Amino acid sequence: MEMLELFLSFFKIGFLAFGGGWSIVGVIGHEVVEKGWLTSTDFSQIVSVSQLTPGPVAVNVATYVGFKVCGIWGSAVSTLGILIPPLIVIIIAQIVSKFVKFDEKRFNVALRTVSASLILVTLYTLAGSSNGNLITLTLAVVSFLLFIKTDVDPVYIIIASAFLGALIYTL
Amino acid sequence: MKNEIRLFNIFITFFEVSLFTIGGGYAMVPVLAKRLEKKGWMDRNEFYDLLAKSQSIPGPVAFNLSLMTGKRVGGFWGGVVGAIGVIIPPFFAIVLIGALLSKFSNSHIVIGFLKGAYGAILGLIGGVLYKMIRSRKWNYFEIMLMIVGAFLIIMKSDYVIFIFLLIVTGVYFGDKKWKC
Repeated sequence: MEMLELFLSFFKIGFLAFGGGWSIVGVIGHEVVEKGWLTSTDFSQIVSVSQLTPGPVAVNVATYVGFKVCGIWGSAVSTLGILIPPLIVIIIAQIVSKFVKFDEKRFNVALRTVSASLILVTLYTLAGSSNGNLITLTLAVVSFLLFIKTDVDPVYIIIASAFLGALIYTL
Repeated sequence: MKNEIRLFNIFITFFEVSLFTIGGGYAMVPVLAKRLEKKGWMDRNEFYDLLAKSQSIPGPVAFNLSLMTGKRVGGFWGGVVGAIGVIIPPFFAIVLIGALLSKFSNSHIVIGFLKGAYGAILGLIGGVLYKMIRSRKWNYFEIMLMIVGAFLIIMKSDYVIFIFLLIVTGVYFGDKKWKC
């Protein structure tokens, strides 16, 4: 039964996957904590691992949550659950666009607005899971500034921050 | 037979690119572009056209991009094997790490490493949001809907799809009335 619930949860969230992976991570976090599948600390670890492994981050998060809840088959249903909705949306959009004339530019603005809402939700949810830890917040501020002020590849920012974290927590 | 070899070739190519690029869809883009060009399957311009298309539809960019470029190179089944090739490495990487990590969940180094990465991730998401907001002009109505929308999703996450549609239609149809 849990397997079906996993699938349905990710299937539902998959429909919102418009503005890049980070937009739906917050909603996933909300859902899994509220359902009692994982604690928010568990979830924050999942987010870190998902960003550090190859593949799209939201799909990785789905795979990992599925694994924690139901093992490898949980992974399989969650991954499928999050990948199917976009395909459905594409097919529906192709059919609808034959009959209804959309102002495409306006529609993109609308999608970007809602994506910004979702990313704001992600930021809020993930910041909540950091429990106001001072080291985490410092690393966050430094990473933010590096990202908007320099051209350093974000992957290096994450890896450097991870090693710094390992150093600080083992000392 | 020749067709099967080509499909297998497509699968392996996408599999490899996916396996060796950390950091999500966008990390994969330049590597895949180079690889497809080297194989003589697709030139840069064609590739970046497909990239633009895969960004404008829902779903993970890496997945969409592999579907589209695979399809261009090897027809319908090319798209299917391309997408499967991209999804398999992260899937098993996560399962493997998930299994390993539950054994090391008390190690200070591992916990510190993940917490450090988490800090950077928080900052980067803030950065993504910042760039997204700065990338275009917003009117007050859109800003209001964006913030109220986020608030509603946090409060009533069960209705997230409904709230999502509400914001999209609100911004789409609200435009003309709020222009100043």
